[in-house]
Amino acid sequence: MGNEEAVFFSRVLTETTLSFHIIYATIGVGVPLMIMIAQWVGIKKNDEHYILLARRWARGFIITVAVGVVTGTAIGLQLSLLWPNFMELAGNVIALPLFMETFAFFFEAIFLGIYLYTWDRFENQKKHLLLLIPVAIGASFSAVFITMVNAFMNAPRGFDIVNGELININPLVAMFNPAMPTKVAHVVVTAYMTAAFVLAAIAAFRLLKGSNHEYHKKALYLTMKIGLIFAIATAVIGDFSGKYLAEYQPEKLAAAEWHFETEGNAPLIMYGVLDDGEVKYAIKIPYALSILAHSIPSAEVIGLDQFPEDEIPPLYIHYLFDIMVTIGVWMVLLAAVFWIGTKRRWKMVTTRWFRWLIVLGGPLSIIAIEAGWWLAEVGRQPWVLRKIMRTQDAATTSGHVDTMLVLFCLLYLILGIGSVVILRRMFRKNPVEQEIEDRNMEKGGDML
Amino acid sequence: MLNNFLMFYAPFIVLIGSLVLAFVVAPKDDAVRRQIDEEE
Repeated sequence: MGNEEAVFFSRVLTETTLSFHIIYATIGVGVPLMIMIAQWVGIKKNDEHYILLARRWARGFIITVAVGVVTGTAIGLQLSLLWPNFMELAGNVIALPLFMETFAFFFEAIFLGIYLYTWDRFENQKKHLLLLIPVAIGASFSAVFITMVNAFMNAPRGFDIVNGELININPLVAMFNPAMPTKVAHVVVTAYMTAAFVLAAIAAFRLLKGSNHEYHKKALYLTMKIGLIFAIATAVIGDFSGKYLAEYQPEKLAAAEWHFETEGNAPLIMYGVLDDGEVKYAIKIPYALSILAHSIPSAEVIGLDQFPEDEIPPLYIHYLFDIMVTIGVWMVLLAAVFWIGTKRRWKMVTTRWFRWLIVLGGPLSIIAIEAGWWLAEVGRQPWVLRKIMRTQDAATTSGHVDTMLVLFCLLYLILGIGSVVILRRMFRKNPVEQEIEDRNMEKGGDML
Repeated sequence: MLNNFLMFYAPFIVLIGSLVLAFVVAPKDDAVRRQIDEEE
């Protein structure tokens, strides 16, 4: 295997691992918050349905955490094995956030164990809920610290380069780089949003499959409301990300928007195809790119004409941007219609077709975060560390990356199928109606 | 100046604001309770 092949397979393997891991990581960050909200509402309203929601979500959450740990470990392993030159150059700088990510995970895992084993041990549910706070904080801060590493790759700061080595390292400056605020906030709110919409999809699916229990209706209403709030927050922070990109990574913004010429009054291009360098069938929204980039309709936006050809990211990232934005807008509309419709007693929101749309929203949200991550990673190319190290120079020269790719794909296949089978069995063997009945009997019939 | 605020501070304000809003809005479930009552 030549070096080019090693680079190619290293990229494919890393992309495969991240694409798989991001599903479990996103759910792992978002679900603890959803559990916390459900339990809090249950305590506040003295409603056991919400408490049961928290219990059942917590059970499913353990499976996703277990898979997330395996895939997260795989990423750590692959960083060193597939990208040794990058780790040699930047390892000292990113070591602090990487270690802090691990500590955040331990923090989450320890309290998750205590939380799970102390259900029904506290007479006062509020004390039990307190145990969930470190779980939610640990999960979210895992995402914060690992995203700081990714932000550093986009906007490296906090060192001097002398003879190709990074010296005078200041890890805090590296962590709090210009890409950090928009990236971290965007990743965290999208995790909350995706978790809410995935849980909403499950509730809607149960209602469609014949269970008309009020438990599922409350779950659906709660998750769609929370999903709407975080979907709007995602869109707002996405706008801030546009401003960051215009200032610090203009080539990424220009490639994502197919903005070839530097100009003012720049339109935003949605959809379309690229045919021999010409944009066809696109929707052009006047001034929108200038507003997105600088908040001013007449502002000049740097185009791809300002960059050497070998520093321009692949232009297919425009399609990823379209997918991400379209799904985001769709989910905001769907959740808003559901919320308003439930308040105003619209029959439409209880129809089968509308519930199927909500079911579809779960996988769509996951596709949106996949598209977002691909946009972020491919949009940084050709750099692994922007303007310092190219991806092709960072990769291993080992001749066995293709074998590793096959083995890891097998592992992900087993983990993916295994986790779905376990989750299905876990909840099928213990349906909501049965669990409510069992808990009623335990509490002498006065629970609900 | 405005862009600097939007890039560096506003993301965290929106993040924290949306978290607070989620906890404020979550317990308000009168609409779904009414829907359940009407269906029964």
